[in-house]
Amino acid sequence: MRSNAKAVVDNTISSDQLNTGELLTGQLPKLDGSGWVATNYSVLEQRSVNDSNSFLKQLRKKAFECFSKTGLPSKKNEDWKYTDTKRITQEKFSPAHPRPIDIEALKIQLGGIVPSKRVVFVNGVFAQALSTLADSPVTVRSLAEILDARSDRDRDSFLTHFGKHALMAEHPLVAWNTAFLQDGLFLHIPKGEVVRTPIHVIFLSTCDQEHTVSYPRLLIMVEAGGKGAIVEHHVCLRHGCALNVVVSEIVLEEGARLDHYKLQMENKESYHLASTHIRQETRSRYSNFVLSGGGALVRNEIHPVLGGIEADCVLSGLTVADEKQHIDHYTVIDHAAPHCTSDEHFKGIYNNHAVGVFNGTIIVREGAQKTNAFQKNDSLLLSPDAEVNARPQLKIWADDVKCTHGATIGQLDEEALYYLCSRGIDSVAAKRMLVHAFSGVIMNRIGDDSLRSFFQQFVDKRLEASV
Amino acid sequence: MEQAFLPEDLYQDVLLDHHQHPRNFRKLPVFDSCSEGKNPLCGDTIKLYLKVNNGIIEDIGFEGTGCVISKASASLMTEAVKGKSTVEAQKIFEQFHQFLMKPQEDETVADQLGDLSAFSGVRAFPVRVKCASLAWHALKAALQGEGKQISTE
Repeated sequence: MRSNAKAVVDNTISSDQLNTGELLTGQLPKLDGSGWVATNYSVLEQRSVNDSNSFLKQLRKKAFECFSKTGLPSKKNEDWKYTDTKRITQEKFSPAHPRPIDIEALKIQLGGIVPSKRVVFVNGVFAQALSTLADSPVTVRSLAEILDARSDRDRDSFLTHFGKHALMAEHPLVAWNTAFLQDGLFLHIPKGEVVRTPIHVIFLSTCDQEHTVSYPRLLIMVEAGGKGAIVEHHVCLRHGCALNVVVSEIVLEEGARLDHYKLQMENKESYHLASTHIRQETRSRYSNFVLSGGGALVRNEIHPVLGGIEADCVLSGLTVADEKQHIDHYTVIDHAAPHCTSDEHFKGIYNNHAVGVFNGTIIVREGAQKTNAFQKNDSLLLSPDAEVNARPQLKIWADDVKCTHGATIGQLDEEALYYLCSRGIDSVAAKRMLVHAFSGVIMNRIGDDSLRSFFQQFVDKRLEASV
Repeated sequence: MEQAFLPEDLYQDVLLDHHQHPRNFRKLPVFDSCSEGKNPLCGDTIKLYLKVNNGIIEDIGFEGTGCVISKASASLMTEAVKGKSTVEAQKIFEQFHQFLMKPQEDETVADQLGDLSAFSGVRAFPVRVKCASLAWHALKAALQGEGKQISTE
């Protein structure tokens, strides 16, 4: 009897199922300098040497091998042309450890109110004491539980999708995150279930030690006809540098809907590298709204794949950056089916020496006829030292489509400012009024009134400090 | 507008003089064109009369009520354009307008404008720009023979 060495045994994953895909060609440099990532990995490997969870070990090993080949891309890589990752590769980061946190401390970071429906992660690890998980039939759990137990009830759905949409071989951030996979969010909305209140997923970095790194992972599945909303918070408890490498996989079945809000508000010393991969089936709807105001270096990637007809994707972003912040939004919307619609609008306000980047690509595959794609990027420079790099791209292989895109970079209109001053409004208030109006277009894309007010208070606070 | 401007900078002696003793402050017995102007923000009103001969502003007069700035501006304007050609008057209008809104790098414009440069304080108080320019807008309307009432709005 011939045994198939690659057969699935128990719950371990074969290398086929890991779906590593094809290796990237091109000149991607290896990790240089300190090699702190490799050091951290071997420590992790050592720690789990007696662990019986061979599935997780194998997964991490494969991911680490993948990441070692490419490392974190440098500016020589076209997709990272405007974002220098040297300060991350050359600094040394050590794993963050979970800490007991008081709910009151959390309250301050979240704008004064602690949401009633919340899942809290402290330094990347699920904090039961701070969370109030949703009731069934929606499943809201810590990924660690599913990773640990072999016969977990959600294991099957987890295996069906995990690593299938965020491909390690194509995305270094995904490989990196998977190599250190520990915990994260598992959210499953069953068929036809409508979740009326948003679920808040809070990622808190304590920053009590300098230069810590966490690897939050999210896996969200919405079955056919299911609807829900999540608010993803990234905040820091105090000053200090924390690195978060966040990867999300989101699957929307036929007619499913997910409204995804992200509040990216870490302190200005921290780093945020995120890669979100969405698979949309027929008539599904995905909206993503991101408010980027924190972080020293931010790379926010969104990769929606419109895989079924009449799927709809709405991406909105507002960046408020000052001092020496560097915020890079990188999106690739893939129209892989006909009759799909996408609407993308990102705006940014940049002061002092802030740098903004917008890389927006729309792919329309062969056969994706009647595609209707809209993309706009507008940036407001408030100082002569602020800088913006906008690179909209269209890659179209179908001939019956509608794709519009536009990028603008400008300053406040002197005449408009003067107009307000001649009406008795002082120059600071006049400036704030115009900046507020500029951001209003994006804020109005938040459908839910209470969520809009929630985000507005963060925008107002951020603008007050900056303008 | 970083410099601290005091009210004294706005109300220079020249302006106060022209407010208390406005020049050409009468309706012309004979005139070719007239115009009316209002500044709703401040309540200033002006009625302007022009006598133009061969493209030269032979005579000019005004009536109206308003703040110090608007009255002084009207008075100084009549002095500045009386005897000048309509083309020159237009040019002075544009120069003055620019002067009111933007800080000037060099003093040459101020020199050319003569007494009109007394309005330099308006640059620090943009809310008064409409008071200072009302008379000039009325002049422009009269020269262009628009006939209808102008407003600073």
